[in-house]
Parts: sequence; C-alpha cells; structure tokens
Amino acid sequence: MRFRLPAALVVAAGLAWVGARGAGPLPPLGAVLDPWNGVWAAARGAELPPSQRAAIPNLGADVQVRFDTRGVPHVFAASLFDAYRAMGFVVARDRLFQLEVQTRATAGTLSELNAAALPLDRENRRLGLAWSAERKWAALAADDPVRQGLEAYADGVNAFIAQMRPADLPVEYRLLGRRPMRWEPRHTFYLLGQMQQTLSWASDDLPYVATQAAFGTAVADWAFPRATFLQEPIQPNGQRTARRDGVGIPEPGTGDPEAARAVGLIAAALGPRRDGTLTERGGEHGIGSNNWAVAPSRSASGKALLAGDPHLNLTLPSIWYEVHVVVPGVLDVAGVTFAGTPGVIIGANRDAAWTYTNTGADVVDFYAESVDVAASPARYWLDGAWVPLESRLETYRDKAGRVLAVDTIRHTHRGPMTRVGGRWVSFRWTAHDPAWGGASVTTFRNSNTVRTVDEYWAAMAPYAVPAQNMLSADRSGNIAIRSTGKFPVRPGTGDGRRLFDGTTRASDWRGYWEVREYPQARNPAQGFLASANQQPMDPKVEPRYLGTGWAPPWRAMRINALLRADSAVTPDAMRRFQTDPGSARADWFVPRVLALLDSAARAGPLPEPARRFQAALAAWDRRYARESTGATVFEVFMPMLARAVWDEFLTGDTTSWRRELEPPGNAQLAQLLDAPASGWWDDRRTTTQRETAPGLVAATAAAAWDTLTARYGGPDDPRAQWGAAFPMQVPHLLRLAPFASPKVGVTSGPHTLAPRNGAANGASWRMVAELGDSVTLQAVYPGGQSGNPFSSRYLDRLDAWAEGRLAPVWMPRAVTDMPADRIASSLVLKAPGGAR
Amino acid sequence: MIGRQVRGALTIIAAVALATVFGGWWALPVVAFASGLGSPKGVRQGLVLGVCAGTAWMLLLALQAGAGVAIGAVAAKVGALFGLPGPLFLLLPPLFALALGWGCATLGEEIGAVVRRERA
Repeated sequence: MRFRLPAALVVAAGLAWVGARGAGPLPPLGAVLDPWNGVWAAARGAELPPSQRAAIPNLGADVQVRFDTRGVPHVFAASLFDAYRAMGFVVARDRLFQLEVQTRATAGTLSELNAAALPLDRENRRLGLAWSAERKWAALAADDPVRQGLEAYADGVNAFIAQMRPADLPVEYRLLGRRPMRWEPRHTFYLLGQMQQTLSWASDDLPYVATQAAFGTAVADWAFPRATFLQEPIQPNGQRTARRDGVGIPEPGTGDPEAARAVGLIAAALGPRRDGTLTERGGEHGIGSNNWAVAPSRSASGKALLAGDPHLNLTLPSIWYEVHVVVPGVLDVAGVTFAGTPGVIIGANRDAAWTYTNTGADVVDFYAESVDVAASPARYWLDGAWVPLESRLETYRDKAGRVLAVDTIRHTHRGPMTRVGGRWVSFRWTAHDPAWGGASVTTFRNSNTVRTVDEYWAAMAPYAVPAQNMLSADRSGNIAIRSTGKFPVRPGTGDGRRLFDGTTRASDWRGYWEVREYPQARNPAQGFLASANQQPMDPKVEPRYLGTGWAPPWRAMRINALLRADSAVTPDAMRRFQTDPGSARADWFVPRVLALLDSAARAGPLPEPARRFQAALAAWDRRYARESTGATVFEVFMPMLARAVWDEFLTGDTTSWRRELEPPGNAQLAQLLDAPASGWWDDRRTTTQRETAPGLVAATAAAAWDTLTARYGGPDDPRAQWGAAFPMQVPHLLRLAPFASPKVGVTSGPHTLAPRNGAANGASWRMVAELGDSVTLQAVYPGGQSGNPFSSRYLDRLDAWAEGRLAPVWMPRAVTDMPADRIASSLVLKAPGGAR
Repeated sequence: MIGRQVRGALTIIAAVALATVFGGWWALPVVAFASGLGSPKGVRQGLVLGVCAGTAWMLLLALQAGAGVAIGAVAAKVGALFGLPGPLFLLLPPLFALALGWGCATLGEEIGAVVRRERA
C-alpha cells in the first residue's frame, strides 16, 4: 500500500499529460477519446440538420439556403456580397479543415499543425507565394469590389466558426488537438496561389537544359520540341487528322558544358522534385484535362453542347464544392467553386457555360545573379550598378508558437533568390505579379454573369495565371475557346528554356502577348472545339515560343476522332466520351510493337514469354475496359519499354547534375518506333553489341510477360483485369489511409479521355451542358460535398463517377420552386437586427 | 448499506457523465479528484470511482449509439489510424476513464488524508 500514492500520482499525471498534450505520434488523447465531445462527436454532426438558423455579421438581408438531396446548397441572396457571405458559411460548414490546410500549405505554416511539415513550409515560402499573396491583398484599395467580396466571404467563414457546435468541429482538428484558425480575406489569394503552383510552376526549362548539357542542343530540341511530333492543335488548323511534323531524330551527341553549369542553378530554384523514376510527362501515365464543345450544326438537338473535364490531384474532400447561387437581377449560376473562393469557377448560368483545361505555357524564367557578398548579400548587380535586394524574414513556428527556424528570403526585381554554393539564382513567375491578384478574382466573378461567348471572352481577358484553355458556349449556339493568361514576351529568340544573365535588364521580359494574339477559335467551320493540354497553336500558324510542356496529342486525337465521327452528338454521347475506353496512344503503339516483334521473330525464334505477350497484345481490342487483361499487359510493358529506351537519361546518378535528366515525352517514344535503327534503341549497358528496336522490344516483351505473371498471376487471373490491376483510390487530404476511398475499378487508362495515374490524379469534375432555350447541366465529381469522413455525403458520388454517370444539376429560380421532397436541409442566415 | 453504495455509485456515474458532456474530458479528473478528496476517513474507493468513471464514459458512448451515431464506423476508421481494430479502440475511452478516474480519485484520497492528519 505504500506505493499507492506514487502509483496514483504517476497514472494521474501521465494520463493527464497524454490526454492534454499527446505523446510522440499520439495526439492529445483526452480530446480524442472524450465520449461526448471527442472523435465520436464528428459522427454526431456528420449529417445536415433539417433546419438551422445562423447570423452573419454585415449581412444586408436574410439569405435563404436550401441543400438539395445531393447535398448541393442553393443560395438565394439579395446582393452579391450577401451571396458570398452565405457561400463562406456553407463551405466552412462542409469543408472547414480543408479551408485551413490548403491555406497553410501555400502560406508555409503547416508546421504549426505538425512540425514535420517544416521542410515543406520552407520550400513553399521560398517560392514566394505567401509573399505575393500579401502583396496582392495590399494592392487592393479599401473600396475595391474584389476586396469587399473577399471580406464578405470571410464574414461567412468566420461566422460559422464562431457559431459552430462542438459536433461541428472536423475530426482532423480533434486528432491534431487544434481549433480552427480565423479566415482572413487574403487567404483566398493563398488558395489561388496553390492552383498557380500546381498548374504553372513546372516548365521544361530544367529537363531541356539538362538534356542540352548531356547530349547537346540538337537532342534537347528534339526531346522537348517547340513543335510537337503530331500536330493536333487546340486552335483548329483545318486538318482532318493529326499532321505528322517533327524533325529527324538526332543521335545522342556531345554535351554542352555551359548548360551543365546552369543545371544546378535552375534545379535549386525549382526546388525538390522527382525521384528519378519516369515523370508524368516523360512517362506513361498521361494525366491531363479535357474539354470540348459542339456547335448546333453537329448536335442531335440543334443546340450547342459543352463538356468540361478538368483533371487535378484527387483528394477527399474534393478540391471542388458544388453550389448554386441566385441573386435576382444579378446572377443565377451553378457549378463548382474552390473551397475558399467566392463565386463559381466552372459551370453555367441561364445563358452560357464555361470550363477550362490547363494551357501549360512557360511562364517562369531563371536568372543567374551577381551579388555583393555571396554568403549574405544585400545588393545585386544590374546594368552596371549595385541595387539593394529586398529582404524578408520568414519565421516558422510549431503548434505551441515556438520558433522552429528563420529564413531570410531575398528578392531581386524579378522575384525570390536561391543560393547554390557561392552562386545565386532568381526567378520571375507570372504568379507573383501583385496587379493580377484582383484580376483573377474579378474575372471569375464576371464570368458568372456572362450571356454570350463574346461576353465571356471579354470577362476573362484580364485573366493572368495559370493560363487556361477557356472553352465556352451560349444559348445562341456559339462555341469558342481561347488560351488565356499572361504569356511573356522574352528577349532574343523568345525561348525561355535557359538560364538568363541576371546582371542586365536586357534579359527581362519585354511584355506580354496581346489578347488578340492568344490561341483562339470561335465557331470554327468544323463545328466543334476541343482541348486536352496539347500544343495550342500550330507552329506553322504561330511560330513564336509559348512553351513546350504540352501533353502528348493522344487525348486530343481521340476526342477529335470521336467528334468528327458523330454528326449528331447528344449530351449522353458527350457523357460517354468522358470515360471512353479507346486510346489513340494504343492505336499508335500496338501495331508498331507487334510489327517489331514480328521483325524480331524473323531474325530468330522469340522466347516463349515474348510470344505469349505478342499473342495477348494482338488479341487486345485496345480498349481500357475494366475486365480487359490486354490493357494490363500493355501497361505493364509500356513503362518498361520507356525505361529500356531512355536508359541514357535514367543514369542512376544522384550526385551530379545528371540526376536532373528527365526522359523525353511519350510522343518521342512514338516517333522512335518508326526509326528502329536509331541509336536510342541501343542499350548502353551492353558494350559488345548494338541493340535495335526489334531486339529491345522483344526482350522487354518477355520481361513484361514475366512481370505480369509474377505480379498478377498471369493473364487468366482476375487480378490481371484492368480494373483490378490498376484501380483508383482517392486519398484523404492528409493521406490518412482510413479516410481514403475504397479502391474502385474504372474504365480509363493512361492517355485515354479519362486519364489517370496509379495514385490520385484524375477527372476532378465532369460536366455536360446543353444550351438551347434553356441551359441544362449534368455533372459529377469523385467524393462528396462533405469533408466529414463519417458523413453520408463524404463519398456518395464516387460510384457514379467511377461508372461514368452524371447527375442533373438542379437550378431552381427561387426557393418557392423547390419542392420539399428535394430539400435535405434548410438554412436561414439572418442579418444583424433581424430580417429586413 | 448496499443500496447506499449503489446510489453513491450511480451518483458518481451521473456526475462524471454530465461533467464530461458540459465540461469536456477535463471534467473527469476534476470530479474524480474532488470525490477522492471528499472521501470519508479511511475509506479507499479509488477503484470504485475509476470504475464509475469508465462506466460513465461507456454509457455516453452507448447513448450516442442509441441515438443513431455511427460509433462503430468512427471506431473502425479512427482506430485504424492508431493501428487498432475498431472494437479495441471502442474500449479505449472507458479504460482511459477508469485509469484516470482511479489515479485522480486515489490522489485525492491520499492528499485528503494528509490534510486531515495535518489538521488533527
């Protein structure tokens, strides 16, 4: 009994500590296990209450919100800013944790949730997105409508936080032992910054310069060409099939030492990147977005049709949140918004519909700077004089507020600088310009009220970054597309893929393309328009440099083939196209691979695994149906073939600049198939012989068959069916495995119209609009409206998405148009002082 | 005598449950400590208090399950985060409450005894 007191003291103190503070990887257990207010409460608050009232400061009049049975809020407000306040409220109710974690990711403050995120925070702040978000916010005058709109949205978010019940606190906060942060209006710029980073930060600068360094300029120009090998541009060029362009295939040549010196600086400025495996562009995954529109002349109904299909990193909850907003006399718009941004980004109103794919233009350049003191510079050399650097202290804190690290980020007039040994490199990026922060918000806001494609073009003209292929259609039957964004005009050849001399303003951008020069088309003679991240303009029409990071043309070729083949397109056909299992890439590769195997067989008997591979590939219908084993056979083979061919790029070197080498794109591999004697087929590891295409393809086929057998048990095993072998799984925002979606088989494959990789990139929102006397919209996204993993609305759209189904998007004109059986929940947002 | 003990236990269970609902988990050690502190001289009921606390937390879970809250789904998903099967995770709250309740109640008893001795 003498140990009773010490034992009680240890148990009580220990559990109180673990309960309050957590221990090691354990979160504060008290708040987690609490049977009433802990994680269980998140399930209690998972479903929408039948009715609810709440107050929002600054609301001009009461706002009626009705959640329909799909969980979509229909907001009926008297003014635009009241609608934004309501949007902030409902988005916070469904996506509060997402709002915070997305903002923190760009702001570089994730370490305040978990100190392990410090390296990521340092990287994000080095990129200057938080810095630029603050400058964009500061550039807005107090009476700027953009500022007022963002403040209104913040009113709504913060009103929800202030009034939420214990059960409303998202489970992630409970696990982290945190409370929600206050939402500041400038946070919207952080969110947009995240999109800018996702969609415009990467460019071909580094792989181009690294290839130049390793194999010479001719190889770099071929591997990362200014004119893609197969021309199927966004702006129609009058051709009925993809035109085969491209230069001859140069042999591996001698490297450029000057380029080698530039590689390290560009790599440092770009920051952490790939792990040496084939990347998306160079590899076989083939992710990317699609959109297309059909003119009345080619639709069955005689109405314009539009399909939107942006592909992004998929998470639960989704990056998108579906909403319908009505402000009588001002706007009536439905579609999806980003959680954290007022207004509808992609969708339709009563007159027009619009959607985007990423342009992928080169909007980042790198400059070698000369500084006064390499270790701690205060000035940089520019046009014969020292110019003071702008310095900014970046302080990183943990959840207790303790300082984890402090960085000094220095800026030239172009942008942030990064140090590499004794050298410094800066970069210029369109995402940093403070003048364009407001423009982005303004353009999205104005798009919500357009009535025609011409008004849409006018509304989006000031849009800056990330450049988007903006497709629109209207009730008058017009269809139009324009690649819109700030495209830099550079000195010299205009090519941005090099390290510029930072000591002179002569290296700076000279301006930007005029809007009228953007790739564009309106009501083309062919009767349809389509984009799939391919090269926007035929270089024979516009030879100026816009970038080279275009997606291979396979998806564009497939969309255009489907649209050319159907002169009476229906909305249901548009829906089917979105998960079309056909593949222009397979149509190109399979016959050529089979021919090369035949060629190898003529030279000598093929090994048994290669013969079985050949038979399986020949039997495949080149469609990525879920039950297809041929698709699995082909997709096991293709990455192996790419690795075998591009062995010169995949050096395994992790210490020198050669680690930055990135294999060429899939289109170059396609081109090589028609050049079987090219030196690129030679396996440099074998010094006594020179391999050619037939031999390497046969060897790879045999290896692929062995891999298939080992991994899936052979072609007759159900595990080898495409849907089972390459399922999709949508991860949770924090990659918490139990909150991820189940694995689902999908009818889609690399470079098909529903491209995806093995992880979590895919169709983030699919919609089809028909525009005639009225506008009808159907849509789906993977996941659900709620961010609460215990909600029935967390994953309720996944099956429809996986099966390629769409749901009608309901656009009631007034609350009174909504029958009770279609309303899941009513919310009345009260203005201060009661209804007015 | 037994009836009084049962009534006492039920009172503690109700007190812990209500305190948890309105005060959060921190209310449990406070109630347990106070109960221990107020225990009659020579009566050691730390374990009883612990069991009452565990029972109270178990009842709160049962109450929510009865109201249709998906307790099992929460246990399965959150338990998986900790590498625990759902049923085992479901046992953690009452066990945590039991241990914490015992520790705090016993601490209260011992401190109460010392205070009483000092006063005497």
